[in-house]
Amino acid sequence: MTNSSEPAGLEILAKADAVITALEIHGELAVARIAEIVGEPVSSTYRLLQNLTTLEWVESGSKRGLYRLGLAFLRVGVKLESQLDIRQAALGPLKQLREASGCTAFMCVLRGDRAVCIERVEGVNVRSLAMQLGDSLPLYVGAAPTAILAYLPTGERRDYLQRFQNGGEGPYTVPSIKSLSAKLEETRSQGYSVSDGDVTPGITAIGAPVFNHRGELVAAVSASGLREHILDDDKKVTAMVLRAAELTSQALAYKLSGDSYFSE
Amino acid sequence: MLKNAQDLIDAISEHGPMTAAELSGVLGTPRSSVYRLIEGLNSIGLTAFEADTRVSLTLRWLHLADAASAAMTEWSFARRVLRRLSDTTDQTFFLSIPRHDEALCIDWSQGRGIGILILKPGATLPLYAGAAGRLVLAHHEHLEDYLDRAPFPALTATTLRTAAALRRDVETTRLRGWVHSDEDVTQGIGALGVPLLSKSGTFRGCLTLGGRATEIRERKEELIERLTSAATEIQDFHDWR
Repeated sequence: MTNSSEPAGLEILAKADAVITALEIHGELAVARIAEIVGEPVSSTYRLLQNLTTLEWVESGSKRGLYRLGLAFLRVGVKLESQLDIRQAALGPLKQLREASGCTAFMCVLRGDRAVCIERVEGVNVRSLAMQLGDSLPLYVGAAPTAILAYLPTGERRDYLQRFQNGGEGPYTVPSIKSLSAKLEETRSQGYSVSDGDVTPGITAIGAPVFNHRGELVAAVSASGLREHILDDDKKVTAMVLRAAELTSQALAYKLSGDSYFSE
Repeated sequence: MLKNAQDLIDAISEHGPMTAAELSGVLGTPRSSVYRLIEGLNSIGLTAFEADTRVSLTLRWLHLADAASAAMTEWSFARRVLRRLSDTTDQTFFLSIPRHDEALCIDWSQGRGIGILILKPGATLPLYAGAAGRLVLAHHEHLEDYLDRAPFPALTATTLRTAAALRRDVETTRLRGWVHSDEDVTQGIGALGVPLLSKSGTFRGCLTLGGRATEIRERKEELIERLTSAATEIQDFHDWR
């Protein structure tokens, strides 16, 4: 590395930031427009763009004379993505969910044909024995598994629905394609899943999907408790589960579209 | 300064969050300079201190990655085709371009097998393995220079490692116009791919799909036909010269 102690060094980072911010907002821009936004002469902006192009922070755009963000962001982004710990992202929101609702809060991810519990925050009201850390359920029972199934890519979901018809696992009855499809459709239209006693009699759970920065499904969070507590008129627990899913997604760089957590 | 910033970012993206002392060691730079650099990068929101004083990359990188991908408007039509393909065939499709002797995935449309596939936007494949990698190799301007680096490390038992094997593969690919990657990157995973070419035959990128190797083998002909007709549609739309 060269000596980076000069104040001019930090200044160039600020200028680079102004350029990438402008390109992030506008997509593609000509040098003159970038110079205007950054408040620098065209000649020095051009030199800066050349330096940024060498580092692949910036690249030539789809037409001559235009610049856009470069592939360095894609390359670094995919590495950062692999470092993000979804358990860490979910822990705070799940604790908040437990504090606010008294329910046991979970996070599950897809592993093979099942949803595996990778985080659990014990509730204060009811101590359910189902879904301990590392336990799993088939995707057609329970709130978090159903939320995962509902938000899988269409092809993956179709494949699972077909495969489930070949036979169920353990004590759980496989629903017909028709009834399961209807349940998944309902889950997607309302943005959350409801498991009403299908894992443990008398215990109800609400689940909601967690998305990454590209809006792809990565996990689901849920809260379980006594039926009457979960299904109260105000749907308070449902709102808390959705909030936990939203906060976890945001910690994974998911961007809200408008005011709603769900773009669908 | 910008180069130093990139070196620091590369170190963190490779090793995960690091302390200033660790960064100073890895980069061979005095700790005081590293602190100033961190201060600069923190001030523009590209890095941040964690609670334990390690420096990490911020989520802004992911937002910038999405913006960089969205700005590649020349691929907008291909992306639409990608979405339609995964909707109608249930497979996961990828769009990749050549970059620095690698095939860089710039977008995907998720179908089946999402948890088992290693390629995703921003990820790369070497040119000696995988459908996208081998397609880029088949159209590489400096093929022999690349092959001088052979033998390449084996990723699986079926990876093509030698220059001779890769030369044969390049020839076959150019002749038939598609690649079948049969467990040469990941055991149990296969891929098929076709090039996206200009009218004059210049390689622009490639369209590939990936999934379970057995299914890819069984449905090979049907899937190649899908890929080929999608590639023709993209090439006709763009009318690349």
